Amino acid sequence: MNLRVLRGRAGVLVLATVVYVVVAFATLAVIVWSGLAPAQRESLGETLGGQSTTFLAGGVLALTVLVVALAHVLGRYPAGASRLAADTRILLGANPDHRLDQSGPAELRDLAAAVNDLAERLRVAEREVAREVSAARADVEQERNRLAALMAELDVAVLVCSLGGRVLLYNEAARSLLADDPALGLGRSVFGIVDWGFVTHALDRIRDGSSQAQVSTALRDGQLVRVRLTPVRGLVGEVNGFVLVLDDLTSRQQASGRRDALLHTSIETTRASLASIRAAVETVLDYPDMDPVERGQFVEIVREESERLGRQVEEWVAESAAYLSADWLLTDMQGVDLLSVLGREVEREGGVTTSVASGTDELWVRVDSHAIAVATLRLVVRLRDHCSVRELTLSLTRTGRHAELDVRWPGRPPDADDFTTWLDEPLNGAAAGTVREVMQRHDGEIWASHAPDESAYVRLLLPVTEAVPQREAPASPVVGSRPELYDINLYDFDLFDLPEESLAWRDRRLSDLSYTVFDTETTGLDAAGGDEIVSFGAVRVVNGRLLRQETFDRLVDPRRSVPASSVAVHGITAEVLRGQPTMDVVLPLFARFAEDTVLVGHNVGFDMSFLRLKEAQTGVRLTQPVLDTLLLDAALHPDHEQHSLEVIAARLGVGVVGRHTALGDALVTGEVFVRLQALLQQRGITTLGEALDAARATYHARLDARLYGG
Amino acid sequence: MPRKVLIVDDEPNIVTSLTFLMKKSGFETSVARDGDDALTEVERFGPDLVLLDVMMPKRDGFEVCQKLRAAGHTELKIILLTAKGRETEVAKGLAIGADAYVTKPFSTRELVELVNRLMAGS
Repeated sequence: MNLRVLRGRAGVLVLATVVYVVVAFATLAVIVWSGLAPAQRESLGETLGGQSTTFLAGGVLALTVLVVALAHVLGRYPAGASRLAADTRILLGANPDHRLDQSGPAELRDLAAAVNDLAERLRVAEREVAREVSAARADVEQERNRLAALMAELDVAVLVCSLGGRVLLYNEAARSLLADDPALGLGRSVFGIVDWGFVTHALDRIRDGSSQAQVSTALRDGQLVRVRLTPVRGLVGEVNGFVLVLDDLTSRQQASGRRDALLHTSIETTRASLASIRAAVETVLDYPDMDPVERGQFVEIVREESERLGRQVEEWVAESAAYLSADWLLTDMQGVDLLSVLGREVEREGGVTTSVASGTDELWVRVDSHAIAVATLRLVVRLRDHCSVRELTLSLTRTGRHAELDVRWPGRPPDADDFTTWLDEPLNGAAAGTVREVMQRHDGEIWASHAPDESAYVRLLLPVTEAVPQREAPASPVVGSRPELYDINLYDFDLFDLPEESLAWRDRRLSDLSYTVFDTETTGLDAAGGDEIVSFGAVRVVNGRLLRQETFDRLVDPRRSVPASSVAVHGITAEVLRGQPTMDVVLPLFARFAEDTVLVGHNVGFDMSFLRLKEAQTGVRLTQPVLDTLLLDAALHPDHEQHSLEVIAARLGVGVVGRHTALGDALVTGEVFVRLQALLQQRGITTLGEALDAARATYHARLDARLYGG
Repeated sequence: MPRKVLIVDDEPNIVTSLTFLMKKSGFETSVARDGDDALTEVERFGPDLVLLDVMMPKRDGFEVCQKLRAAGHTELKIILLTAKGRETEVAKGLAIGADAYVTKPFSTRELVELVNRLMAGS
């Protein structure tokens, strides 16, 4: 007998019934009593007085039977009905194969059978719809496969992104170029890989009519790549995404850098030696009456410098063969375009009023426009802060084989020492480390000075393009003739419209967030007592889909023994762990994998307690929100008593494979989470904040139950 | 009183020839080995003209030139000597206040003539 139903509304109902019965009897007794004559009252009093104990016991017994009977009925009907409701929601939202348990009172059994019949019909109808949908999608699938095949064939790394910078597609070459970069993944922000400034800069150029833009930039691990950005346009020609093509430049850059260095030192050393020889010889010739000691000194100079020249030439010959052209870094660009892009960036990022002097269409420069923009912006910011420059003019004029890019303002030029310091400060986001290096790469020069009209300027001498390239007409989108690539988002990939990451975490819709579902295996259960993590497994959930190819799977050397009891659970022995990376290495990698996503785990408090203890040691603090599938399931199914991963998985129709490996458990948890997400949606829980609140309420309810029994 | 020439270069072999040439042309000479040394030597020695190499340790010739002009040495003649000789550097050298820019290797006679001409002009 389950008397727990007596808590809450059912309890009130039972109490009310008992009170009603007692009051009814009492009223009846009073009415009968008051209708009796005094003699009858006396006689009845004598008769009943002898039997009072029996009456009392009978009354109490009758009431107890009443309470128990009521509890039984109430326990069978309302609790049974709410379990039926919860099960119905499962089959509606998560697992169409789930069937209702036909137990309990006959009425509820009938209801369950009816719902099961309905579910069967629903499934048939859904199959029908699915068949039609899949037929309709077959064409789209083929387009997708064609694109996937095309992308897979490319040697260059390709990333397709939404306008907000989310990665929608990438190819194998991208994966191998960005090997081990946990920031790469569907639905993740591409700005973890490519500098945000470049993308903004490139999109600006595209708005000005360029068909694409490129830059060379360093990835996080220092690898140098050339990034080309091509816009993806929507139906009316608006840019709603972009494609990035990445070329590995590291090896080429190194070769080119060495070649440049060699060339420059060769020229300088040669000229210096020649200068010494020529000066010595001419001196000897011009002063024939020179004394022998002095003459000997000059002859010795000639001999010494000739030897140095010879060595230099040999060195040059030996090394020069290997080097390629350095032109790959620079692209031809119309001067007016460069000016307008620079003007906009300087004004927006530098906060200085900027006017752009009108230039001519004929002037083309050969530049890495992003690097020039980054360098110019840095100088403007320094001028603003050190020389109080509030407004300036940008101009570009040709002088001989160079173009003078002038940043001009009314006032005095910067102090020479300050200026030299600015040139050697590290820059962010450009392949070249400093303004000076940017100028060296352009084979240009830079200096600050002042003009006769009391204005000061910083001048960047840049190479001009001699043969003006034929400019490609900007791609004008024509409906019906767009390349195949763009068609995909019209049917299937509705991902270009993902919102910007501007709202606070709590207000974000669950369906818009990306998740890292993870699990760990440990040496034991006591994090504070010195148990350690030995294995990390994680997988991403994006757009309500589990991305099985985007996983994180690492063993961790716990730097301690692994007790047999835990080996029995996960099968990972100390021998396997020897030589694996330690937590200092793995946790930062995991943090990057999980960057910008919500963490999800089953009974995740356990795993988090281990991670929290590692914060000080590794310097890694996971600050994103955390969801627990155990608590979410308990919030959705308060009538089910079991919320272990196996039970939930079975209830939601998730196959359990590879349990008790971290990755295996993460995958199962991930599938469970995807289905729970659908159920949350049904319950009107749509934002992360609402999900966290529901989990928190359940957690407190369970805590109360544990503390106060029940 | 003889006019003074300061020779600034870190290559001893060219310094030897330049010193000899300037002395034979009737100038008093002094030598500095790097950019910092050059700045001190200008104040101490008080030259009328500086033969200034561009590529030097510590401060390069461009910087020394700009410092000297900024410090008020407007009458001082400065000839930049360089093994680089790219167009961009010539433009920069003249823009920051050098009186002449000579690319190595140079004709000693032309250099002496250039020095004499600049001295006469001052």
